[in-house]
Amino acid sequence: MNSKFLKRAASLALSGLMITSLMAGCGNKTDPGATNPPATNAPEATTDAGNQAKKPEDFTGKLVIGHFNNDESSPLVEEFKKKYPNVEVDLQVTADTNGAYQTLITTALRSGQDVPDVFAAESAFVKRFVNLPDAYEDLSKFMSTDELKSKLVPYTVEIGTDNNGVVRALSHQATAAAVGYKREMAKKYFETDDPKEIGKLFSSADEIVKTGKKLVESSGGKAKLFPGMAELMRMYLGAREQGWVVDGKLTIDDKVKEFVKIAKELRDIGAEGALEAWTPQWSAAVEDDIHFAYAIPTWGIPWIIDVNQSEANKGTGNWGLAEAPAPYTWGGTWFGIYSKSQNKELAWEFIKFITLDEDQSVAWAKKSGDFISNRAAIEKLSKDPEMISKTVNQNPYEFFGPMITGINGKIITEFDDQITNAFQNAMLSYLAGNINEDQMWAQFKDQVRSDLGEQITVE
Amino acid sequence: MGRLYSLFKRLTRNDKYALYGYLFILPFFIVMSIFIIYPIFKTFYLSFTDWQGATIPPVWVGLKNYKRLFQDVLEGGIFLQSIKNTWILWICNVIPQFVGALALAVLLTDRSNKIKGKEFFRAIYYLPNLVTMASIAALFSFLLGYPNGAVNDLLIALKLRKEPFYFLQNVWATRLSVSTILTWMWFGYTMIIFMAGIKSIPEELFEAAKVDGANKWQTFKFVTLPQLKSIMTYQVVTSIIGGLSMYDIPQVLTNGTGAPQNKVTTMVMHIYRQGFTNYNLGYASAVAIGLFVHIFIVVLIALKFINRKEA
Repeated sequence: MNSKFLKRAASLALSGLMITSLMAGCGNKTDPGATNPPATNAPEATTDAGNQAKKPEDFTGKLVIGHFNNDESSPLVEEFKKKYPNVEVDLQVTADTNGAYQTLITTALRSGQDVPDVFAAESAFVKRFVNLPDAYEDLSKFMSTDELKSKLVPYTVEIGTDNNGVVRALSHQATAAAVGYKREMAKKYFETDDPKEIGKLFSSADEIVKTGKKLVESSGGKAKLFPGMAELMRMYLGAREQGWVVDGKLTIDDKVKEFVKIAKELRDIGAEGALEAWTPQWSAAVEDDIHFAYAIPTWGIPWIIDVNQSEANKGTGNWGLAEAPAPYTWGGTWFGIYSKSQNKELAWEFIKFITLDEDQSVAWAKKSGDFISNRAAIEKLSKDPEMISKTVNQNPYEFFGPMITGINGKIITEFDDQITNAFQNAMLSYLAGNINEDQMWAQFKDQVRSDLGEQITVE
Repeated sequence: MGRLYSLFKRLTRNDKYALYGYLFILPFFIVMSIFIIYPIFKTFYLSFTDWQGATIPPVWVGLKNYKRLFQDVLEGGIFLQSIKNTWILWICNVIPQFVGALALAVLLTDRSNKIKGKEFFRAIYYLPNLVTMASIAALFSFLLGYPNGAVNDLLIALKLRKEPFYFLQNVWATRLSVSTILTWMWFGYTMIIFMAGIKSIPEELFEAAKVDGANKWQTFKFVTLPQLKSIMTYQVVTSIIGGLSMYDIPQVLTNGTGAPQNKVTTMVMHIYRQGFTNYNLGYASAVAIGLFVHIFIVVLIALKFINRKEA
């Protein structure tokens, strides 16, 4: 009798255990959405002047920050915690592999639960988040747009602005980009490694093709101007006057057409190495003496050049920065405040700290090598000899400073990622010689129509 | 509660036994309803809406997504291409896979030949099935790299080619890579299934064949093959269902692009791209329902084929 009871109890317990383990993935949906009251934070409208009465030490509470890169976000949060010692910060990092971070934030936004008070967005999807209703808060409640544009590099504010002109996200970085070249190769094939002279070689489409031809001829076909087509593509996309989508219609700027022409020419004469960006071969080509120039943004110095160089060559000034045909931007991370956050005051303190605090920006630039977006800090650092990068033997602030206000942030759209990918795929087939130019444009447009046909018109 | 208890007491012993049976299979059905049945109905509902997956709720648009789907198929759009691709990838995989698996199964179950270490081979051939598809695909994309992947380096070193070959921009090279990976991964499993099938053939049939003077090939053709028919059709049907929902390998190999020229995009890749890369969740749901109907029809035809043969 006893054993029978035990057997029954054991089997019921076991099946109960198995059911609950299956349910483990459900997660706790115990708080109904109603407990997240909408902005009763009317006092949030306190202007900055009101908050200045509070010192950093006076701020208490908990701030939840969502990010997709630990190396980038952890140190930022550390700095913030140093200045605001009484604030507890919960940094939640989810890498964006296959869009995992974006999906996490999107589903959280949809359910209205577990949305971080501050969440980051990379340049590839910042426009999407900025234009999503109920995602980011209107930042003009804390500081006017004009003031923001005067204190921070304007194009970074433009990118964080939604289609109705409301600023919703700010970046602590200004990721301007230029041409990075290897000085040894420059001296060997062009008799000079002076940035201004090298810049002339890239000053126009014709010059670029001429330079490519010269390089291939003088090296007997060994040397290449660029490792892949993506380098030149980034430069050209940045030089456009119109973005991919204007008034809801797919727009192909003249610069894009010019790029298609040159890219084909460069590939045909063997001046472009057909390597795909971020592949191991592309990274390895940073060290070789075959591929001459890369598209190097401000973060490219540590993350494209330094990281791929051998120990012997690190920091020896064997690279240089030259001006691209037009100043362009690549990458960057924006931060915004969740529109229904309970901690908007604290969240604004964080964003204010990383972007508008001049001392923090200067310290951050020196510590992390990031190119910050605070204009006063940029001015200061461009005169600071300590900022001369050992990798390129130039001061990036001195170099990028003058051109940075000229970057057009209005050409970035929320569809850029998909459209540029479709364009790149079509171009790869075209450059490999498998399809002709008409087929390339047809494939590109078909892909964009299939991907985004419901949101934009494609002719 | 009291009434229920008195009802319970009045059930016969057999009823109670059956009740326990239902109780124990209930967890499975609960879980299946939540994670499989409900999402299928939700997807069906979503296919009639426009939804970007974010804070704006779905908007009912009726048959718009299906109209777009039909238009795509009729005008030779990307979905039609993905149907063709999926079938080509599957056929190029299933034929070598089955031929190879059958040959090996016959060899390894044959009592008359003296291959040493049959068990060892059985285990070895099954091993590829245990590796995750995504990692193999990633490995292949390294091997086939251009201009200097392992295969290209080898071809140039052996002087078989002067210049590197752009494998991953060549339609058939990419397709055959996907099919090769699939064949390599699954032939061991198929072989084991066939081996089990052959082992279950009654010994008398083989002896009868031997007495009649049949040689190895005739034994295979007239005894083994007919007896394996049901197992083979089971394998084909499960292979079709798996093949039509092919996703990991082409996704990883082409980095989600279905390059070159969308000739390696499978149906599920298309759904993923529409739904999770472009956030066209309404249309993606419609495509998913389209895929469901496609598989349903194919399996119906396959089953009819089986039943007709068995009759």
